[in-house]
Amino acid sequence: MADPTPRKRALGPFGGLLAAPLFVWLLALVVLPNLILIGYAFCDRDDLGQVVPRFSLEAIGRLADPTYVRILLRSLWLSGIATAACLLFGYPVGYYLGRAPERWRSKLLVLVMIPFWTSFLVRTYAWMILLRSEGLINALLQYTRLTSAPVDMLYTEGAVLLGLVYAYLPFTILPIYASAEKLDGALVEAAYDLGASPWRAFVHVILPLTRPGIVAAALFVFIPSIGMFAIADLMGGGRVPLVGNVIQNQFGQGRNWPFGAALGAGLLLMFVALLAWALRKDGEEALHR
Amino acid sequence: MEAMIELRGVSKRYGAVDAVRDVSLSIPSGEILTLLGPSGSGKTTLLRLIAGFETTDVGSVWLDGKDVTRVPAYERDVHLVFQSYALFPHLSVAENVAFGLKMRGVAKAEREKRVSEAIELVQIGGMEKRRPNELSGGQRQRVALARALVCRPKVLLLDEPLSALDAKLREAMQVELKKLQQKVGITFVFVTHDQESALVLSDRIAVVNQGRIEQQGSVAEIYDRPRTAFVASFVGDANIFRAKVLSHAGAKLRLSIGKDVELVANHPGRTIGAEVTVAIRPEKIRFGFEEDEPQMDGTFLATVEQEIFRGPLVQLFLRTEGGVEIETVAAARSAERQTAPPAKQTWDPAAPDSELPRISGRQPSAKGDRVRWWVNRDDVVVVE
Repeated sequence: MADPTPRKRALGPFGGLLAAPLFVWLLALVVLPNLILIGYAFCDRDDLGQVVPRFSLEAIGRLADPTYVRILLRSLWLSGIATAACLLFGYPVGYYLGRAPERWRSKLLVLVMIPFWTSFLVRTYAWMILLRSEGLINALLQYTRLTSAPVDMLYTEGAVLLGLVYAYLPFTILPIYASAEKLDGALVEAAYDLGASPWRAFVHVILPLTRPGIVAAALFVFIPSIGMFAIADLMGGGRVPLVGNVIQNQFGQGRNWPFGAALGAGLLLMFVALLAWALRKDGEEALHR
Repeated sequence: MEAMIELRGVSKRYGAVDAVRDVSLSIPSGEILTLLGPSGSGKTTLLRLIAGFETTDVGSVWLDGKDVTRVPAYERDVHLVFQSYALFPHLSVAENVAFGLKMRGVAKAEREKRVSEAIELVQIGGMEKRRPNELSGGQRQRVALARALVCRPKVLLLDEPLSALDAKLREAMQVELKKLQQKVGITFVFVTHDQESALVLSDRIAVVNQGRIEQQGSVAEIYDRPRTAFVASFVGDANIFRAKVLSHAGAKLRLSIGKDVELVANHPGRTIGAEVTVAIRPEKIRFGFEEDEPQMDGTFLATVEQEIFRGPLVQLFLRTEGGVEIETVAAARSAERQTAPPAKQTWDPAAPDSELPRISGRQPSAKGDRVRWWVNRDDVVVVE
């Protein structure tokens, strides 16, 4: 039997140089800016809102303000629900695409990509047209006499949630597609063969074996949706501010860069912790593959 | 004997391909049956139909006297050992073996007992905690066997179970599987394209070709009395000749092959002049040096065209003057004797050479040797 773990081909002593552009890019555009951001979080500002390079814990201290804690919790909550909804709708699609006959797969995958051909903002405005009081859905509801007055749909938490799920669903489908495609069909048959009903085969074999895809999908939705401000702005009409909106505000009209930086650094820390946790679990799995 | 599995007039199509065509098969309880055929012959489809992964287009599948044609795989008391073994990579050896019992709701204490028995049975004790990727090919196969056997299925299906093992291990596993089957008494159905494994392992063989079963019977029947040229050449080696019927008397046919060979076969009458196909196993061809063998009716002269050394055997290709090519085998003696000039072998060095029985050590085996050959009429098999 062939060695099941193909060995990596050696790249020679300078092989590492191939990754140099990536490292430079990461250093210049990710590590450095984030360090500056963290630095700003500990800076003071003058009366006009100009950042002053003087050590201060004021910005960090404001993070404990109940207003912002509430916004953070709401962001976490909405992002959590959006993640769950994306997984719920995205998993069956991703799994179906990944298990489809090979010659269909790439064609079906293109369907998932089609929404990206239209600008994100245009698509979000389209939703607004559908959802607003004089919008298509309300017109239909009233025309069919299901409701007598327009239903408030736009500028609600529900609208923000809808916007998030709509925006991130393709990003859930892709990693799940990838792990479903890798899943060996014989394993699913083996589960049936050993007496597992379709549901139990799903729980005991399919789900654990597509876990890496689920974890990746969850992170792809959860992390960006916490920082997302455009959807909350447009679909929430500013009535449902999320952390992203607050940060945007601090760097914009609020003219409080240190506080914005503190919020940003706080989120960053949270994501790093989350990612480390998720990767640790997956690293363990990878060892056993 | 009671049939454990019965296929009744089963057909299955995939698009434009007839994978299985009107197959009827009955497998007695407690036997090892091999579905033997080349790849694409439909043998794997038959296996999947029995396992319940495919449903028949026409015909029915019976398991232990019950019609299971529409029963899904997870409710059939049949387990399959997959060609790739299909061990669950996220579960340990013990968890893999316990899987079927868990799905059937066997209580934990009972489960643990049966898992350790099964692990004992296939001799992989001490590896319970390992993951499949930490096992060798042979060990994986044992885990796959234990996982299927632990549920005590009525039938165990094995899809090319030995193909992933190297030659030495394959031989050992053949013997072990046979012993294992005798121990557990479960009906085994093998699928393989490897005729050697089929001969070693099976009680009965069903030769599958182009979606049909060409012949089924005991191993000896299949080997000694192949019904078709395909069976004769797929199971073991065979000389296949086109022959013309010269005459027939009773159950005997007189056949002519090529320009200079005439053979007698046991076969009920055929019209004179008709063309038939005959199969003769290489080892059934008898031969000796031309000068050692008396010239008689039914013996023919030929020249060794080529010899191929195969370890215990030498494969010889003979050719008659009339151009008939015959494949045969001889036991390989020591190399010197094969190449030594013809000399009478003696078993008592003191006795005068001419009075001693000749020992068959002297046998033609070199290119250019002139031989006289013949074949018993029982060994000339007329096939379709």
